[in-house]
Amino acid sequence: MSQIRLNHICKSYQGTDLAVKDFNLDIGEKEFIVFVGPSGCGKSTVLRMIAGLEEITSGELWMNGKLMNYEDPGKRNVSMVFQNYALYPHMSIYDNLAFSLAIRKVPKKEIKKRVTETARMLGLEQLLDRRPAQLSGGQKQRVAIGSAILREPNAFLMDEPLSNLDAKMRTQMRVEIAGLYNRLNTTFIYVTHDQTEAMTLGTRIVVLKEGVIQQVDTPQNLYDHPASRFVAGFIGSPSMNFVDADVLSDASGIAIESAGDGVEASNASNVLELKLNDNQTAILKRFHYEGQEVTLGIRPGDFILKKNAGGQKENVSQAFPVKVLSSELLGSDRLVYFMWEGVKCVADISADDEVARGDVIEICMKLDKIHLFNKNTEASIFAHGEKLAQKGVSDYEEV
Amino acid sequence: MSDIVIDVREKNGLEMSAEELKRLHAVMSAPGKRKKTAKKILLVAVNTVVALFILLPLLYAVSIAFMPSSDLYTMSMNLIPTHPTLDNFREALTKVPLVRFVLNSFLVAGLITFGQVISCSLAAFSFSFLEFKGKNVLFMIVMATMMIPGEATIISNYLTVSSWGWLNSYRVLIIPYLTSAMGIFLFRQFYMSFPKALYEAAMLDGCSNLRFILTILMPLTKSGIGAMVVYTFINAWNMYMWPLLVNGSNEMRTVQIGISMLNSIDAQSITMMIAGVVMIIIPSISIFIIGQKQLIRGMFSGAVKG
Repeated sequence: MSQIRLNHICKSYQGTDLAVKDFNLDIGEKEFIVFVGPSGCGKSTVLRMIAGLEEITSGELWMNGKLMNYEDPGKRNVSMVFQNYALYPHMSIYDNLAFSLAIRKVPKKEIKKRVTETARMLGLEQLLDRRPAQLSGGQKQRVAIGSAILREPNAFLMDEPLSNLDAKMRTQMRVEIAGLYNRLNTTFIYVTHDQTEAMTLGTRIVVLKEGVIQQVDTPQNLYDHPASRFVAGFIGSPSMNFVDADVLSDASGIAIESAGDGVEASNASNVLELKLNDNQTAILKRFHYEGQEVTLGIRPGDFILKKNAGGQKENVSQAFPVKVLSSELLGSDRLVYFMWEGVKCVADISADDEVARGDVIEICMKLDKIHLFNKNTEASIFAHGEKLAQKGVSDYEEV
Repeated sequence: MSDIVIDVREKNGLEMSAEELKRLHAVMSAPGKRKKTAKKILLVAVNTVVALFILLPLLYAVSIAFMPSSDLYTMSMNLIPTHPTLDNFREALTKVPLVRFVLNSFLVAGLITFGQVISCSLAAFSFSFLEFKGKNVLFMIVMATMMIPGEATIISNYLTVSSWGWLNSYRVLIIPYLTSAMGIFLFRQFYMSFPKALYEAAMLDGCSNLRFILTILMPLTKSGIGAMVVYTFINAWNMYMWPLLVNGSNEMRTVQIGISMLNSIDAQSITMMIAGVVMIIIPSISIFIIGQKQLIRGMFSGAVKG
């Protein structure tokens, strides 16, 4: 039903720097798009430009083939759920829900039917006579969502709708929103800084930083193949570990100097060499990384204790000793912090492996899961290489 | 009493019975309670004295209004009428058309108040919710007009309205006062603390600006409107200089001007004049009493957030 296209959208406030730079995105029908990024990255601004609450400085916004830049917010047929609910405090819940329909001159009978229907769907029937002040945060947000649904808009815009709720309520509402999306089958555009919400809700996620799109991809791809060091560090919790490494001169592997970490290195040269698989080597070779410095990224969950490494089918690196700075038990998992290459790293291991502070443990990495980033551009070498390979580009210039 | 305290204190708190605990509570809190009561009595006493002191002229005026002239002109101090009479009121009402004056004042003050609430809330809305070029400069200009005293413009205003042939009419009393910078400022302060998300939500609901003002903004800023109504009405009711200047005929006189007609050189009666004054201050005082809560809340609620 709804297809939204953002074409070279820019936003600047009173001639200052661009808050949103050259934003291009095609949103298809019935997609659940999540904008995610640190605060001040422009994600809310983009959403508000789609809603018509902010003027678009330059670029075009298309909805269903119509240019929407100069259309009033009320005429865009989108509805928005705000962070602070934005319910009219002097009206009953019923009137709050009915307000937008009453403005559109929907007959009273029809309004009543739709309001009761929606209230039943969201479990608000008992609250229709109350005022917003008499409701809890979760109920208020449900009313806000209800009044958004009632209008049957082309797209739902949600601006951090769960951030004012407590942790338990947030999880519950998250599930409800996911259920709603499945039931309504409409385009959702959702802004959040919470990556759990982004990962669980979105069909596609847009990662933003300083007003620039970093990556647009499905949650799984974003997690497995981050396009840049920023995305890699932003998505996933605890976040990815980054250490400096050198590509070997034949690109068959990378070397990490592991000296000075409070542990006597096991091999004489103090250098840990990781052997890469053929595919990885090919990409490194194609883009001429032989002998260059790169940044190695590895997720906490891709570390593995040496004693558990035997049964792994995956390609596991040789073990190296690290000294445990602290160990946190999170129920089923255990987070182990250690210094490696002068950087504080964290490994996510099984809770069954008892590791205490001050222990020296032997740890390995799942080699197929490592990420390498260009030191200057911070772009992911493997992700970029694979993308170019798909396009049939064989040159190295673009990395 | 004190030995009870010591007695109870020797025991551990956990060992005390409910009875003992209650007694201990009563004993321990007695001095604090006494202190609080004494403070309250002192406060009420001081307030009463100050209030009496401030209200004395007003109360004395009310008292004089009920006195026959003979009561006032004696050697003894007569604070309370010895032979209360309503003659003064009767005389004041027959001597000048006071009822007409009061109606005039009500009409003028009422329309000015209504007009100011409408115009000021609309102006304040655009200054706080809408974005347009030169908004801040325009607002500063509006605020700057508050610095010009009314007396400075009164002659040019008079010349303007007289050249239009507006003298001796209601419109000359009402139209020049249909908006005020103070009112715009007051409303704007209110609207600044109004959550902007509500406006945005209304816009997305397809609500027009006018409808937003009428159905959402105004109901939610009732206290601000109340403050504005009281403030404007009293000001308009007490207008003196302008009505005196522009209206000469009896029919158009407002009550503040009309009352001075009681003070004629040939027949001076202080008691009658005071009776007239007492009658005309009743509306403004009652409006203030009715609206004082709104006024005080309104004056300050916009100023400090929270």
